[in-house]
Amino acid sequence: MNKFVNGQFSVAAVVLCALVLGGCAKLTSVRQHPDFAAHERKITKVAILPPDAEFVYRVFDGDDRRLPEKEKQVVESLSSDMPEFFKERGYEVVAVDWERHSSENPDFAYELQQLRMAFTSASEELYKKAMVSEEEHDDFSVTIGPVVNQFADMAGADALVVVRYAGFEKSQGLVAKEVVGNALLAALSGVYYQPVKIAGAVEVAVLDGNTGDVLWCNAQAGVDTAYGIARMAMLPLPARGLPSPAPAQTQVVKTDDVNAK
Amino acid sequence: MRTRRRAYITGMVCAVAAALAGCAPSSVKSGTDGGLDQDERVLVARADAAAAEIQRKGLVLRDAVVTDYVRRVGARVVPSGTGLQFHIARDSNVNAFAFPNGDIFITIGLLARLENETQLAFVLAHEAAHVYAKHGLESARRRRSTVIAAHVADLVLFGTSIAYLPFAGSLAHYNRDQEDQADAVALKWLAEANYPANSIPTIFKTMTEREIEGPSHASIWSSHPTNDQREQRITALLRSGNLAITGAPDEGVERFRAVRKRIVHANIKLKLRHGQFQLARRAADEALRHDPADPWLYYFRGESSRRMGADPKTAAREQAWIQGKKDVEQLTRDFESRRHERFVQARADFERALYIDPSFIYAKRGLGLVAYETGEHEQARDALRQYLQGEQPIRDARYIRTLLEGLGDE
Repeated sequence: MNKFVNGQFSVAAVVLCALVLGGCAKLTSVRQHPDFAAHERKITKVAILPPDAEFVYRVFDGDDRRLPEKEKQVVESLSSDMPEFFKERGYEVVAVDWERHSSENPDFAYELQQLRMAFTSASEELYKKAMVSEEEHDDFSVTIGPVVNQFADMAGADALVVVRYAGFEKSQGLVAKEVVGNALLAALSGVYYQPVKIAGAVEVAVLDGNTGDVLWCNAQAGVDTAYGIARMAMLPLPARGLPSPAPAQTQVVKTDDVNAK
Repeated sequence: MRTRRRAYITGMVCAVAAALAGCAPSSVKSGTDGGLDQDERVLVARADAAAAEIQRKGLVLRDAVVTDYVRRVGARVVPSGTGLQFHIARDSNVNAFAFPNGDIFITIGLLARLENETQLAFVLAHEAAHVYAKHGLESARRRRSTVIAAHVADLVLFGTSIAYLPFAGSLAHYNRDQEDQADAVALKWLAEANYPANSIPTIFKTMTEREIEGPSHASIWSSHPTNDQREQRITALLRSGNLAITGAPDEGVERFRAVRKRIVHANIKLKLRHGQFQLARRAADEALRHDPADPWLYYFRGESSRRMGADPKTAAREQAWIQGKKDVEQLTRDFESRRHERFVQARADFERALYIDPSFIYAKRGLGLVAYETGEHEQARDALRQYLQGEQPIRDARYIRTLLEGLGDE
């Protein structure tokens, strides 16, 4: 199921919508644990879990389909890029042979799926409001619980990173329909929105490997490659040994309703 | 002026939408030379991919005893059941779904709710009937035409796509007529396979987890008629005299219960994992009727109470779903006010588990976590230390050690 369309991966859709709708505020999509600094001091190693990706080709008649080749490319890209992004932020990244663990443990895929589902549930709690003020961004205390422990054990890491991507590409017919629709909207509201042909969103989260607490997460949407969007998503993560940057990714967005989903 | 123009546009667009919907093909075409037509090929390919993804994500139960049993029941009730493959999905929701390629999934949540082999046979037959009648193809075509109309219609809604239906990933989504057809075919097959179908009408009440009627997003009943309507329709069919119902007792009851016992624990654990605390408790209570000396079941009851006390927000969300209520904040306050009561209940169940089996270390875990929540640090440390010293591998050792560190344990 494409998370954009079905809204299960509501974060991506929410952030994307918040970025394109009207109104003015200084807001951020970053969420940070109130005791982030204390947790971060204890982290010596992080491990990147196998990324998850969904990419949908959307067409006018509604007969949308997944693009497995594109999904595979995105997973490969994120698997090689995310460790570099974390190293740039001063983290030591453990190289984990997840395929070996998967072949040795018949329940690996299932347990990973459980972890991802637990994170999806936590994400819904974190992103009840798509964007929050800079003052509110570090007031989120959400956990996915000890489901993380076995992966932290496998990796020998103190923290785990969840990465997921949801993207779509629209057919010409669908874009044409949106051009007409947006023109109607413009006639009444005076504001014209250019339809987006291809877009994606990346969600990145750092989880405490002992407690499952969500220490930091961010969702970034855009029309760039998965690499470009992931890089943007990572920018607000405080670099180790340095003071936190100006609160998170300050987005000056036009939104009428930051609570819109 | 603006209002008149809007009304005009609305009227024109609705007329166009109606015309487009009427133009769509509405019958399922059988393939040329008996083979699949293009639409079917596409649908089957997507179903293959979806089924493969479910497998890849480890969501299919790997218990050979349970799987073989379900497949044998399927082979008995579905005439010429070749081309069908029955699987058990590791999902605690009460659900069963059939893909157009013949992959049929029944969840452990559903399996745990059924009472006997006849009810299982009915569910499998119902899903198989969807495949044989090509309901998936019919639905996809109907949905496509509806979606084209919705595309045009939602110009009125200015791109908000409220009218937009879920995309074709919903390979197992059927309408009421199709569900009624599948029920009728399933009953016929049940009678032909010599199953005593008179227990079928009660299946709908057995399977419902909600206290309200109506569509449920997570349920196979999302497009179905209400449970009452289905029960009435099936009762009428059984009374019509058109089906040769044996009326003999279900000889598969003991066989069924032995198999169901194998998935009961997995089902309850999953429910707890996914925040379905009350449903987990109900499932444990039901299982205790058959197995009153199982310490695990008391542990699960204890966990459900403990989690309701420790996580009132999640408990409230579950309650809202079960009762069809919207005021989650009020429900959360209700759960928060009853925390102490929950912890007392939890403690009693954990102690009961230990009474049955003094070496059952998971009860120590439960007691330790309750003591942690209630601020009884000494008791928490003792119990959690004992849990960590158990012989079995402790999967959440890191979590427990972190709690102990917080309690000042070196």
